[in-house]
Amino acid sequence: MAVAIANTLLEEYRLQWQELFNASQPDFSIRLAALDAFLEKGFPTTKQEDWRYTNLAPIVKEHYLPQAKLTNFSGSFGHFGIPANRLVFINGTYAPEFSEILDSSILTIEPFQLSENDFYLTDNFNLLNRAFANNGLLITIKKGQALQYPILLILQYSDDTGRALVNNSNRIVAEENSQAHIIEFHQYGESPVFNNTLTTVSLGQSANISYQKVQAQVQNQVQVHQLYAQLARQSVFTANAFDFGGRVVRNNVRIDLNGEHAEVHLNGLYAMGDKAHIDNHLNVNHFAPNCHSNQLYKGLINDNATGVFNGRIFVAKDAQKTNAFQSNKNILLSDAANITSKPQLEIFADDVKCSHGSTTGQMDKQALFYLQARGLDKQQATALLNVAFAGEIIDRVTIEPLREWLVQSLNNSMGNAN
Amino acid sequence: MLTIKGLRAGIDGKEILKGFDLEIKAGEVHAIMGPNGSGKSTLANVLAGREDYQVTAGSIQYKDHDLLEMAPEDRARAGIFLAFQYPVEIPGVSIANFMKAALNEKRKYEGLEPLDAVSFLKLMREKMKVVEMDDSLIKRAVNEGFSGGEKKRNEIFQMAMLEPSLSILDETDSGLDIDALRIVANGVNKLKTNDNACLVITHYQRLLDYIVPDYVHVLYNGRIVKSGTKELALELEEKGYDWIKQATKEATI
Repeated sequence: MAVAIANTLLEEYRLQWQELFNASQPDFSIRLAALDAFLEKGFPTTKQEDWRYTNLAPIVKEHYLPQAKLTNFSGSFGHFGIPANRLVFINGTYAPEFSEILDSSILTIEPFQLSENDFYLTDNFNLLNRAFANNGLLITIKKGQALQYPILLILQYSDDTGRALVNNSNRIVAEENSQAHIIEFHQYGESPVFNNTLTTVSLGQSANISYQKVQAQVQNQVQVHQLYAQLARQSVFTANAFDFGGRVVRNNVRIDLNGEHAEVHLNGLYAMGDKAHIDNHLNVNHFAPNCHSNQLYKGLINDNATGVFNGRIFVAKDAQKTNAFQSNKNILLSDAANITSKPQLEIFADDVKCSHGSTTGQMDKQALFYLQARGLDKQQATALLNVAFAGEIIDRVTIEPLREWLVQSLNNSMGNAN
Repeated sequence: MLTIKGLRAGIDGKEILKGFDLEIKAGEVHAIMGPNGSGKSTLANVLAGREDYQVTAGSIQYKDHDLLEMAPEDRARAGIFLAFQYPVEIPGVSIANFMKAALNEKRKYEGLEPLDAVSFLKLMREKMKVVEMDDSLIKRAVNEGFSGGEKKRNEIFQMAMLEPSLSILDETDSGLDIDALRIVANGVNKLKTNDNACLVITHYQRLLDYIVPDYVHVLYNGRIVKSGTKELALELEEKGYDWIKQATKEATI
């Protein structure tokens, strides 16, 4: 029975696709190939090792459909009160009327086209994205330039989409020796949306990019987010992922260290209550020698929420002198809260330094009492300790108004609005 | 200020205080001495309101409050301060933020407006001098990586900030070298007024060379078995606790 429903849904996807794309489009055949490959695979099930702990079946049954047309939006956007190179996308489509580029001489944007030469991953959601994503941008930071203002990608979902499947796709190219801060901000409306977002970042030699993913009003939303970064020689990439709830959030991060002396720092904070489910799958590939990777993911899990952390480090045979570290720390704030934490090390080089560690504990009762004995009530004390635990990640964000927003969001997600 | 009557309390179902009585008036310094396991720390924890301890009988009157009815934070706001035997390390919470939250809670309880940033900073600087605390410590996380002496100084600094009516010093001398002991004790003495009171809990007499008590009580087996003046502390230092234990045993027989 379940199979029959799914098949019908996939047929609807094909019909929808046929409405959206026609043979006159230059990347028609590439999209068609991706569509066929996706329809062959369908949505992942918990029988797939990578999806064992995240069950999408109930969501798939609810019939989220790709959008046939752009819906209108007349609301306002969160800005964190900072001047920024603001690029707004409404339900996946670039909206120039809401956008503004401040660093115009050193930052260019253009619609991206799929190409036969693209390197892309062939898992379910990448194929789905490749088949459907439209009207995203290719964003280029020019060689040797440091952006004065951050790039703020606002992915806005409107109130009137119904159960939409939105495929976002943006590519960022940081040319040799360029520098930028990027914030990718997903902001939801009233409608429950399933967004399948692909952000690729390509770092040229000695480029230095910091990227943060944040989401607001995420309660009933579903997100599969893919961050794929390729690092050339001596480049440095920092990616911070912040998730404060969501019906299901799945972050797939894949980092390819392709050039010597490249460096990646992956930090994540997931803080949630109710029945939220947040799954972080990290995949760091050391393909070149002398590279450095560092992963620090922290979770605060309350109520009936569940978390998943899966961190894979791959060190190729030639990637000697690799430094690769991974740490996952969790606090379970209720008896029903749950975390599955799984490191995966695959090391084929013999001269490497790799370490990983995972801890899961409860709120420190001694610390709670210490704070209470100084006049803070239990809720205040808990909030302070939560922020302290999360601070190790939040403090890595260098944009002050964003940090403040993150602390606020953390408190809200933990039921401590103040 | 504080009247404890017939207090019975324990932890994990084991009774430790077995009918404890004590009366402390404003302006007084009381010392409680006793061998290990006599119930000193239980007393401190029960007064501060630690939930792990169960009170099975007796009463504690603090000013016009029934103390046992109060949550730990309300006791603190009402002026009870416990200087911890083992101050807790709290990574990620700066001393400044911690004290700001604590002080403003107390002020709210007293019907006062929160202190503005400038006044707060000024107050902190002033109070740090009380325990000769280094300025750089205020930005550090609470007790994280502090030496034993720094932790105890930090306790007395917090006491100076919160200006409690009743301070309970739980083995504040443990782990202190002689210089740190002097600084900590001087801090406590500077905070002394006719309106506040201090309960010094200690195993050894040496702290009482610096913080001179008005009364000394010997706690043994969950009860006060002997009370006196500061000379009693000296006697204990000289003779140890065995004669007290012996005397108690004989009295029981």
